[in-house]
Amino acid sequence: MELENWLDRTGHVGGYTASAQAMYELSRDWYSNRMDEDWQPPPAEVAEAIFRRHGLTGEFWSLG
Amino acid sequence: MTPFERKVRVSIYALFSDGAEIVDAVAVAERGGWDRVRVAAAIRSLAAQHRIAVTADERVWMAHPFSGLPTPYRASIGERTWYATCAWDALAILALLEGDGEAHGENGLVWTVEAGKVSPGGLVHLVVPARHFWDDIEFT
Repeated sequence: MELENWLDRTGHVGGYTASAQAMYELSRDWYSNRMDEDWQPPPAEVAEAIFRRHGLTGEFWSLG
Repeated sequence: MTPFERKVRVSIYALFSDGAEIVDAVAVAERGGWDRVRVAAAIRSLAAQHRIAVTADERVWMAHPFSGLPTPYRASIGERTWYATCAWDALAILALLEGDGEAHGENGLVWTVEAGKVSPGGLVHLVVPARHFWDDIEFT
């Protein structure tokens, strides 16, 4: 209900809702080597695998 | 990224991690002992590659999850605080720095992260699909 109220108030539509815990755990994976000199953005299929590992699936998280 | 751009990128992140208030070519050049013009060119190139985002006057605006400008979103570990670009990134700063602390959002939202657990629970809502994150990174 709070999410619906927030969407009404802000006018945002659609989107994706995830738990704060899931997003934190995704971040541990996603940013684990961000400060390494040899970091590169992962290829789309690797990024999507990371998202899937954290339960983030569907069209919203597709990079194709 | 060229090898020098990689060094500049890491230097940007180190400056943010260390709590620098302004991260720009001057700060990066000073930290690395590099030529400022060369650093400025590297920063522009990194921005063009969407590795970072910069303001009109080429201050580093975003090196995700860090924000180089004040926002409602902050992460804190002990007495240290960093601006984040969004609620997700406030949590992400704690993840990146591997520290227990707090993630602050709008309207008094506060998450505590301790030993990998986020409390209270709650939700993060993302408006922009992943493939479009960089279409308008400010809006995202």
